[in-house]
Amino acid sequence: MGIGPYERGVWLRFGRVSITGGFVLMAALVFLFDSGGLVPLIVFVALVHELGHFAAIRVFGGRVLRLHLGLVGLRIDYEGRRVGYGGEIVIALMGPIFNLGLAYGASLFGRHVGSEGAFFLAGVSLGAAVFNLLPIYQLDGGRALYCFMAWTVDADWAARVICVLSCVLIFAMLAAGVVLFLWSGWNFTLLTAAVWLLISYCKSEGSAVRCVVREF
Amino acid sequence: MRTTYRRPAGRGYKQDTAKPSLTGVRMTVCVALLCCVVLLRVFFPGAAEAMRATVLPLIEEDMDYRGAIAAIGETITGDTPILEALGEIAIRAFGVLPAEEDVEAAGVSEEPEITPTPSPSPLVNHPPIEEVFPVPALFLLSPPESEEPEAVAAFLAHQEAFAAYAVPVNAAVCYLPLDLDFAVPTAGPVSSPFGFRRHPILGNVGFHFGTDIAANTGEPIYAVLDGRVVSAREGLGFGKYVLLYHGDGIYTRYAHASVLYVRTGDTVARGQMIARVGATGTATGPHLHFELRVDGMYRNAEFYLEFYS
Repeated sequence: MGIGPYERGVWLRFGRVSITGGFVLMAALVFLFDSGGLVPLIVFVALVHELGHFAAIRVFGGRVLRLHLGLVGLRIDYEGRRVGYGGEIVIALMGPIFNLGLAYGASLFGRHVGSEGAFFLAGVSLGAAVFNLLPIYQLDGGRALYCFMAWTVDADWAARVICVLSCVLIFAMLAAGVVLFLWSGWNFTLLTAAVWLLISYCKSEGSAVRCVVREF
Repeated sequence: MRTTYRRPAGRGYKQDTAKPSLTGVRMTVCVALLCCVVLLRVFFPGAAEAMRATVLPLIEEDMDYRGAIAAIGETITGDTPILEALGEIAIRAFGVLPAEEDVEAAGVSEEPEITPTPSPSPLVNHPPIEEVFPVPALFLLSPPESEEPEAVAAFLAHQEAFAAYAVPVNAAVCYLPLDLDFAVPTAGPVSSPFGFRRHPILGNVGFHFGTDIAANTGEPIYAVLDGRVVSAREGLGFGKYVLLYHGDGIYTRYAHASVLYVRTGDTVARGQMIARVGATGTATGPHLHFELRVDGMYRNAEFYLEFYS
């Protein structure tokens, strides 16, 4: 375990896992306000999501370098000299795909035994999959789209396109969030999601899985 | 050649600039906050509970998130197309529940042409709630069909004109027996009933999640059951409104009031005056928009309440 700043915002490090102050803050808030057992369920959905990424990384011969727990989510940096863009797309998409699988399985189970809890798990997992598939750079969908464009066209061009796309989407969500907030009186669900994405964009962090070492 | 991954250019991708000392301070503050929270929950569970009770209703009050998400999870393996289901989660989770206050209080909405058909309507065959959600035993006293109020048959016959439209997933048109004694929320005739209706001006078909009761500004609004005030405030669509929770997953909402007499967190008794009729929010005239929600599903209050005709 290492203590001390080794990169921006990171203070605690356990082997390959680094934790930022923002994550600690988030943990504190969640710990304070969790009342209905929602948090363990979300942690489970997140674990399944990351399991998808890890499994794909292993299949493609990559190696996880770092697990970064920040304010805006969990990021996996992996070494993928043998992965290539195609593999990176699959690795990025495997998290949401695992979530979709979990959602379907839980829904089937819920239908079989008549459990609302299972339906709820299915809904949360589906939501996680859809959210992560948004074409925003910090999310898996954006990561996959970026790799696809970099692969088929050009990396710099892909970076510019994804940058513009992320900005447009985030600001559209912000605008919609503000409108919803005013219109509904108090509902800040969408606004929170948009601000979360904006912070993750500005901090250049997020929930995506990225290949940080690549051989061309 | 081994290349380090390049981050895309742009304002959001500046290189690390935080000073180590600043990072340390930030982290110390965050850890201190975490410690405070842990201490609060361990040594002052009552205070932590009070804090949650204050903040959580602000997030959850208007939307039954759990019910909405579960409904979406249920549709994954159901017959509803997944995209439609995603639309529903947007509608439900983000609270886009149009108040649909387009009917003048005293006005009568344009009645659609009713063409009764002998064949059973899909609306009549709408799955009962117990197939969708497990409900408390209180509601499972499945009655014989004959016990249904006359209003149910009349309502379903009226709704047959809209058989081509899908009922929103968070609303149920079928009858659910509720062994509860509801008080009348306000004295006045129903000006716009629950369910599908044709917009009196635009002519399009929309679903009305509540019942509009025509009444003059200043008429008292009463709580229909004992309960707790989940929210009493002003929103753009509902205007000044009160949302009550009566336990067992039952919520009622009283919208477009001119004055509110209760505050969030108050306990109210059945028949207690909680507000006065008004025309705040999206309303074209004074009326009460009354909603009944049971286990996440909006239900037709006209089955259970005696409204003046």
